[in-house]
Amino acid sequence: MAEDLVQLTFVAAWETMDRFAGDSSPRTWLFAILKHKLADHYRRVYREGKPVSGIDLSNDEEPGRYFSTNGHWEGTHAPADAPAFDDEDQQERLDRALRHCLDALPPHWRSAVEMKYLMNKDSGRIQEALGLSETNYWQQLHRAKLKLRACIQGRLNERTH
Amino acid sequence: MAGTSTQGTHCRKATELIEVRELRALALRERVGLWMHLRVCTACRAYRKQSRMIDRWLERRANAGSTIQSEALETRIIDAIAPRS
Repeated sequence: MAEDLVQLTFVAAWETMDRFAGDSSPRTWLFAILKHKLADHYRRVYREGKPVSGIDLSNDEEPGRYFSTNGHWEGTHAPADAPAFDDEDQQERLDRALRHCLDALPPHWRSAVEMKYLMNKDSGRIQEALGLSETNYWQQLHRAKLKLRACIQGRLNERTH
Repeated sequence: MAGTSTQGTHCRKATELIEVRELRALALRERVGLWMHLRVCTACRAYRKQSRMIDRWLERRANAGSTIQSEALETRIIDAIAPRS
């Protein structure tokens, strides 16, 4: 995927070279194009991946793993203060945990998460690109975040004990 | 203590609101409910803190162009595009 995206970025850069005003560095300009290409990629992953994985948005299974029926944290799933989360010395470890856990997310959730920042939090445009209502979009983000956070905490605990 | 319910806002709802707040302004009732809940729930306060940290990480990563999977490849590309001095 990465090689393809880079190729697409270079092609797009070549084609739009005359529009490059030189206000920013070439590096910034190429990253801006790359961000667009990545957003396109995640939109495709989202749209193609959803029916295959059979995820139904009305299926509330994911939050159900972390909360009891009365809406309170279920036992060990309750987040606890973890020094590794904000300790500067542990940044590398945290970085590895984040990368691992992001890779472990179901593709369509990952797409929703990635697009939030690739499209500068423009939720209106993201919802349109993914074909989601506002409620469904934040539900996806909520589920993805719950899973991501739990995964990171699990990884960090694994290594300290 | 984890899971204390206040004014109808429980942990599941509180974590939803923490995420929704990033996308739209919360209604007054939601804001007050979340604020009261966070005052008494250490688990949700930890969630909020960690959720923000994850957001900052994702944002930094997207803006650095490092959403490319392979670090080695990324370095190669960056050096090809604009060699570091």
